Parts: sequence; C-alpha cells; structure tokens
Amino acid sequence: MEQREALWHGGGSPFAVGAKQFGMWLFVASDALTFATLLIVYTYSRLANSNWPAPFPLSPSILQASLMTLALLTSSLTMALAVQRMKAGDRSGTVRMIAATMALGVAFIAIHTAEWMHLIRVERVTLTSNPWNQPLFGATFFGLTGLHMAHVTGGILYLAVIAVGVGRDRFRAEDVETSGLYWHFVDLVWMFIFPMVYLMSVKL
Amino acid sequence: MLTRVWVILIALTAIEVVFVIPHLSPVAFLTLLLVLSVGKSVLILAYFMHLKFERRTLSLALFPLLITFILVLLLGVLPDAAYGQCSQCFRTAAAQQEASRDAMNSGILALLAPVVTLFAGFCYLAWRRRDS
Repeated sequence: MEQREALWHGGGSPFAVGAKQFGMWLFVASDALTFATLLIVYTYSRLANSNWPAPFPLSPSILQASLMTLALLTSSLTMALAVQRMKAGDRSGTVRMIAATMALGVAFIAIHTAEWMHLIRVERVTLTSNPWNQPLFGATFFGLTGLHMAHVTGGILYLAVIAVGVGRDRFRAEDVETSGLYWHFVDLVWMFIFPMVYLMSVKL
Repeated sequence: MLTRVWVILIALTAIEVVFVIPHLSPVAFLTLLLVLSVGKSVLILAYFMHLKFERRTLSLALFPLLITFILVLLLGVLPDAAYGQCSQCFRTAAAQQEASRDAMNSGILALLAPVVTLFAGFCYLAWRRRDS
C-alpha cells in the first residue's frame, strides 16, 4: 500500500498520455474487435465454402487495391509528419500535411467506389445474390469494406475539423495526435482487409 | 525514421502481392498473409501510433484482453472452416467408432487448452501484480 503511494501520488495519469488520447485508444481497441469479428466472419465463409467466388483479377482489381493500400500507407506517413510538425509548433506545415492526408483518403475512397460500382453494375453482386450463387459473398464483402469506407469518410471529416481549427490557432498538439491515432487505426485495419479479402480471392 | 518505416510497410505489402502467384493452398496462404499483416500492424502501432515511446502500462491495459478475445473468436471458428465441408465432417464424426470419437473429443479439448492457458496466465499476472 505504502509502495503504491510512493509510485503514484494520484496526480496525472498512470498511462502518461492525456485523457483525449487515452479515450481514443479505448475506442480503437473496441473498434478493433468489431473489425476482427467481421474479418473472421468473412474468412470463415471464405474457407468453409470450397466454391467461394474469386472475383478479383490481377488487373484491374488487385492493381487498384494495391494502389489503395499505397494511398492509405502514405496518408499514415503524412499524418505522422503532421503530428511532428505540430509538436515543433509549425501550424501551417501541420495544416499542409493534414491536407495531404485528406487528399490521399479521398483518393482511396474514389478508387474504392469505382471498384464497388464495377462489382454492382457489371458483375451484378448485391447484398443477397450474385452470379456465383454464393449469397454470403455480397453480404460479408460489402459489410466489411463498407464499414471500413465509413471509417475513412468519418476520418476525412474529423481531419477537416482539426485542420481548420489548427489553421485558426485553436487546438494543441494533443488534439492532432488524437486524430492521428484514429487515422492510423483505419490504415491498420486495411492492412488486414487487403490480404484477407482481396489477395485471398484472386482470379488467376 | 518514419520514412524508413513507410518503406518497410510498402515492401511487406509487395511481398504479400507477389505471393499470389505461386498458388499456395488457402490455409497456407492465409497463414503467410496473417504473419505479414501482424508484422505490419506492429510497425504501425509502434512508430506511427507512437506506442513504442509511451509508458508500457498503456499497451498492457489495451492489448492482452483484445488479443484474448480475438483468439477466442479465431479458435472457435477457424479449425472447423479450414478443414472444410462442416456438415460432411459432422456426419463422418457421428459415424465413427467409439475409440476415434474419443480421440476427436480429446482433440477438441486440446484446442481449448491454449485459450484457457492464455486466460489463466493473464489472470495470474494480474493477481501477482495486484499491489505494484
């Protein structure tokens, strides 16, 4: 008991991060479970059905998905650089880096939407039916990638609010870092969706 | 530093894409992809999300439970799917001799062991450190 008091006097946080960042970490952990469940559902259906469709040819689907991965990875780099700039007190540099992050996020959504439209219009995949007679494919694919796309869209709006605020001399480095945690998490989730959904169902 | 991590992440992604070509079996390919993806996540968490430079209590508060839950989900579902054709397997199992049925039951118990061990380990660690 005495030892505990010697270690921690009740001031500050035992985790040594601010309350906002810690809150974001908790959100990220719970959201990771949501995505883990959806990924496991998809992979279970994929492995349990021997005639699971393979609707992604190397070109254009895998090429597009690789470009999307590149966009998200690069956006994570620019986001980390934005946090660095903000800590150095360079507000205009921070805004530029966040803008670059948002642009890469928009590029990701644009390519992803084109790919969805191809699946819906040309391949005739819906939530409940598709030409390969494997109705679970549409439900699990659109559910998983749709939830991820919603996260990217939300992230772009979140970053827009932060960028405008930083430009107007509001917000501190901690706020930029908290938004960065969210953005990196969305990138991290895609690091699982890309191999487990796309690379596992390549049409060779 | 950040740029170097970014280059490594892209290189790991490229390896994943290249391994599409040798046409591995789904389970082998999935295992390879998962190993690489977990490696990429660790890099993102450590450097981009700055976890490497935070106090370790943060990681300990977040990850043991998260990983336990994901393992429980995985162990409940994947062995069944990986060996395919669940209903067929079920019928075969039901038609077995008593001895092989017993063997299968102990196999199921064996799969439960890692989960229970992990869970008990975390409980033990928490109990041992209750005052520190």
